[in-house]
Amino acid sequence: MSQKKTAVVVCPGRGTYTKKELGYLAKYLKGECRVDKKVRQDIQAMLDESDQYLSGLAEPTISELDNAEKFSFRTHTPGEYASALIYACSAADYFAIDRDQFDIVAVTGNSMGWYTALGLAGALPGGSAIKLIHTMGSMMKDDLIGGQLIYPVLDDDWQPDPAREGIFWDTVDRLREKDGYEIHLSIRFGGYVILGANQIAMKALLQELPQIDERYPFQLINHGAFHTPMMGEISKRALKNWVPICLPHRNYR
Amino acid sequence: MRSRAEIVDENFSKRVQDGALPDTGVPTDPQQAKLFKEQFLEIFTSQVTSRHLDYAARILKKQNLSFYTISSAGHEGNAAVAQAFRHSDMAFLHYRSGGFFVQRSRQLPGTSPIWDVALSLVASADDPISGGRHKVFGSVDLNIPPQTSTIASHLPKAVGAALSVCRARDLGTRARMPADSVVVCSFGDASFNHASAQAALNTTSLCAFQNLPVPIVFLCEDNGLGISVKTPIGWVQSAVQGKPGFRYISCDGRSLSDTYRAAQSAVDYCRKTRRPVFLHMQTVRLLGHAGSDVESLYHGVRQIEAAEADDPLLHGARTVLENGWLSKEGLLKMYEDIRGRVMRAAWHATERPKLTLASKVRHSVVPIDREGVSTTKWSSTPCPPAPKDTERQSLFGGDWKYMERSHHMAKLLNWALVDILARYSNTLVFGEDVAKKGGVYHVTSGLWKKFGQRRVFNSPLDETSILGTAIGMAQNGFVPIPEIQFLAYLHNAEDQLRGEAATLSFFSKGQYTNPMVIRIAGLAYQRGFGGHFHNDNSLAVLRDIPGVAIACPSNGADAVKMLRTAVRLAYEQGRVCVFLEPIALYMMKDLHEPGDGLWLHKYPDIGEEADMTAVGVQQGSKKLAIVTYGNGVYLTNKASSQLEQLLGEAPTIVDLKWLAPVPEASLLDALQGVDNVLIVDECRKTGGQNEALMALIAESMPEVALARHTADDCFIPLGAGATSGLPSCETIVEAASKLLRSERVYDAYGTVKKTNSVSPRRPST
Repeated sequence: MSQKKTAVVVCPGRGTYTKKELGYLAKYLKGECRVDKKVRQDIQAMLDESDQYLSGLAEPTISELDNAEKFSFRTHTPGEYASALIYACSAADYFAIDRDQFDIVAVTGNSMGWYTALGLAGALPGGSAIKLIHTMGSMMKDDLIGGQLIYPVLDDDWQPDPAREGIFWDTVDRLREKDGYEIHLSIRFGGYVILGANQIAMKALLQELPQIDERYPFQLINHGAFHTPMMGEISKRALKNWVPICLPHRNYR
Repeated sequence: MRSRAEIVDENFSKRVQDGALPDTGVPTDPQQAKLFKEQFLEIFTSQVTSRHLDYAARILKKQNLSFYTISSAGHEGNAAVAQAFRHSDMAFLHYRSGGFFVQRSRQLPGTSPIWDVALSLVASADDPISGGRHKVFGSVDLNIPPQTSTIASHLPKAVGAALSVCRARDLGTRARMPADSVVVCSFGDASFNHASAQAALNTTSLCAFQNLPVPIVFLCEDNGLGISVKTPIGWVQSAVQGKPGFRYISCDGRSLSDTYRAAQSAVDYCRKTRRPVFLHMQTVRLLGHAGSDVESLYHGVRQIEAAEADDPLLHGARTVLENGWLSKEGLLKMYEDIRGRVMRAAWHATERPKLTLASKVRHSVVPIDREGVSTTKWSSTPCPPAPKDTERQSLFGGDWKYMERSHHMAKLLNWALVDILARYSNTLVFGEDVAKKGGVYHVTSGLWKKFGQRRVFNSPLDETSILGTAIGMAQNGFVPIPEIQFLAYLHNAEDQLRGEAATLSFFSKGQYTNPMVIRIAGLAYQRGFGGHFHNDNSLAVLRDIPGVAIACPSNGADAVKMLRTAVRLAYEQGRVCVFLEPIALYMMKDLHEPGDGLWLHKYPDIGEEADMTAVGVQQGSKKLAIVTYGNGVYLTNKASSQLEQLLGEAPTIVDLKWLAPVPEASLLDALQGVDNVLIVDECRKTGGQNEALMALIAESMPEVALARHTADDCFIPLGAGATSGLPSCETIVEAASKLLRSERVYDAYGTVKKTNSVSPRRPST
C-alpha cells in the first residue's frame, strides 16, 4: 500500500463563486498560485476546451467571466454561468493537488458538485464534463421551478438542537397541509436543512419560520427546488440524455 | 511461513499476470445470462471487495484488533445472487455472505458496506447493526436482519417471514416487506443436515404442497465441507430434489454469469408463482473454515491448492479479460485500489470506540431500551383503542349475556383472546389444533370462526416451525400469539426462543424486534393423567433467557389481565413474552369443597391490565408469608384453614405472577416485617424458581427465617404417583409448621445462621 497520504476530494455546489472568487482561475494561470507548469498547462487545456464549447453556443466563456472587471449579479449568478465557473475552479484546484504527496482515493460532491465529481473521476468521456455541467445548469434558465431555502437546526455551539428542529418541522408540516403549498426536504447539509418549495410556500416559510441570527431562513438566490420531486421532469430528461454516456470503471481500462 | 490467505492473495495477481486462469467448463457467457459489461464488472467488484474484507480480518486478527475470521472466500458467487433480488426482499444470511452484502448495498445510495463490515470485524460500538455485539451481516435499510446462528437455526424464521408476505397483503397488515417480495435465506451444505434446516424445508414443502404461498429462495452454498467433514457428492441434490412443492435450480458458484442466470430464474419463478425454490450453488471454500482452522490437518496440500486454483475471483477475472473489458493492468490496479480502500477503512475502524461497559452491552437486551427507535416504527406504535361494546357484543354472540357471571380460567382466557384479536388487527393465533378444535383445552375455541383462518390457524406438528413462523411473521409486522401445546414440547424447539427470538433485539441494537406472546400450557397436577410429557414442571430452560418476560397466572381474572399486558408489551415494546398457563387450573372451579365455586372469576373490565412489576398479595399474618405462583397459589389457599389453625390467623400469600423478570421490589416490599417466609415451588428443586427466590430473600432480608418446599428432582409418572413428588396442601402445612417450630440461631450481625431445610416427609407410598 502506498505510504502517501490519502485524500477525498469534495467538489463544491452552487453559490461558491462569489465576488471574492472573481479572478480565481487567473491567479493560477498568471502564476500567483505556486503550481507546476504541468498543472498550469492542464488548467489551460481544460479552460480552452470549455471556452470553445461555450463560445460554440454563443455563451460568455469561463475566461471572460473570470477575467471580468467586476462581479456582476446578472452575468455571474445565473445557473448556466455560475455552474461553468465553479466547475472550472474546482477542476483547477483538483489539478493543483500534489500527487507526490497525496493519493486521491475518492471524488465526491454536493449538488452540482456531483457532476463535477463525475468529470474529475473520469467517468465521462473527454470534453463532456463541461457539456453536462452547462446543460444541467441551464436546463431551467427559462423557468426556474420553485426555490430553495436554508435553515440551521444546530444551536450556537453547533450541537443538534431538537427543540429548534421540532419547531422547524412543525411549521413545515403545518404549511404542507395547506392547499397549493408544496414543500420537500432537499438536502440535509451538515447541521442545516435545505428545503425545496413552490413560490407560495416559500413566501410563507420565510415569514413564519423563527428568525435566527438575522440571517435565516435564507432563500438561495437563483436556485430552484433542487433535489426534490418538483424537479422530476427535468431529472427524467437529463437521465435520458446522459446515462448512456457515463463510464464506470473507466479508470481501469 | 506464508499463510494460505497470503498465498491465495498473491495467486490472484500472479495468475492474472501470467494468464493462468481456470476454466469452469460450464457456459459462462455473460450475455447469455443477460449480464452486461457494467453489471458484470460491478458484481465482480463486490466479490473482490468481499475478499479484501476477509484478508483485512486476518491481518487485523494477527494484531488482536479483530475478533472474527470466518470468511466468505470462495463463496463470493453470492454477490451475483444478491443482484437478482431487490433490497426490499428480506435476506437471512449465513456468515459467508460478504459478496451478497456488498452487492446488495449498491442498490441503496448512501450505504457504506466496507466501513460497516470493518466496524463489525473490530467489534466497534459504531457498528451500525450490532453496535459491537457481534460480527454479523445485517442492515435495517437493506432488509438484512442480523444472524448469529449459522447452523441453520435461522431457516425456520425465514420460512415464517415468507409466509407472512401474502398474509400481510390479505389482512391489510402494515408490513416491512412489499406484497410482492420474496425472502432469501442462505446456509451451507453441512447446515443443510441440521434438524432446524430440515424442519424449515419440511414446513415449506408442506405449505407449498397445499398451495399456500411461500415465496422463499433457499440458497444452499455447497462447498462440500462441514469444517473437516466432507459432504457426500450429490447428497444435497438427492435429498432435496424429491421434496414436494419445491423447484430445484443448481448453478456453478465459481461462475458469476451462471450463478446470476440461476438466481434470476429462481427469483423470477418465486416472485411470480409465490412458490419455494431451492437454489443449489456449488462452490469452493478457501482460507479454511476460519482463521483458527488449520486445514492441513485434514487436507493434503494438493487438495488445498486445487480449491485455490478454482478461486471464483480467478474465474471472474478470466471473463473480464476474455471479453476485453479491462486490461490485465487495469484489472490488477482495480484489485489493489480496492485493497487500499478496504485496508484504510479497516485501520480507521480499529480506532473507533469499543463497546466496553456492561450496562451498554445490556442496553439492547430488552428492545424498550433500543437505540434509534425510529427504525422500528411498526412496533413502537401506541396500542390501538379497545374495541367498542357494539363490536364486542357481536363477536361474543351468545356468551355476551354470561359475561357478568364467574367462569374458569380457560373460558376467561378464551374471551381475552377474542378481545385481543379484535383490538390488535396484526395479532395471529396459531399452533397445533388451535383452529377448528379450539385447542386441547378449548382456550382458542371459536376464534377460528370469529376471525377467519388467516388469523387463527393450525400448524404442523413441529414446535421448531411454530416458533420459527412466529419470529418470521413478527419481523414483518405481525404480533403472533403462537401456542405450544404442552411445556415439554417446547424443549425440542427451545433454540428458536433462546438462540433466535430472544437475541434479535440484542444483536441488532434493538433495531429489529420479533414481538410475540408464546402461550404454553404446562405444569403438573393433572390428577394422574398424561404422565411427564403433559405435566412437565421444569421452567429452567426459560428462566435464564435475558429479556424474555414470563407470566404465570394462578386464576382466571389475573390470567386475563396478564395476557393483555403481555400483548401490550409485545405490541408497544417489541418484547418476547412467554405466557405459561397452568393446565390443572384451566377448568378449576372449586377451592375447598365441590360446588363452592371459589376459584371462578368474573371477566375483568376491558380496560384492566396487570402491572408486571407487582406481585399479588393476600395480606395476612406477619408471622408467616408463603411466596408461590401458579398451582402453588391455589394449593396454599386450599390449605388456608389448616394454616390458620397453625398461626391463629391466615398467612400472607404472595403470588409472584411474573417469573421473569421477578418483581423483586414489590416482592420484598410485601415481605416487610414478616418473620418467616416459606417458598412453595411446584417445579423441581434444582433449577426451579425457588433457587432464585431463596437467594434474593436471603441476600435482601437476612433477618427472615427462610425455607423452601419444592417438587422433587424427578419426572412425573402416570396414575396415583403423579402428584406424590409435588407440594400438596398437607405438605405445605407441614413445611410451614416445621419452619415456625424451627430454632433460630443468629450470628453476631443478627443474620439467621440456621435455615430450615426443605420438604416435609412425604407419604412413603
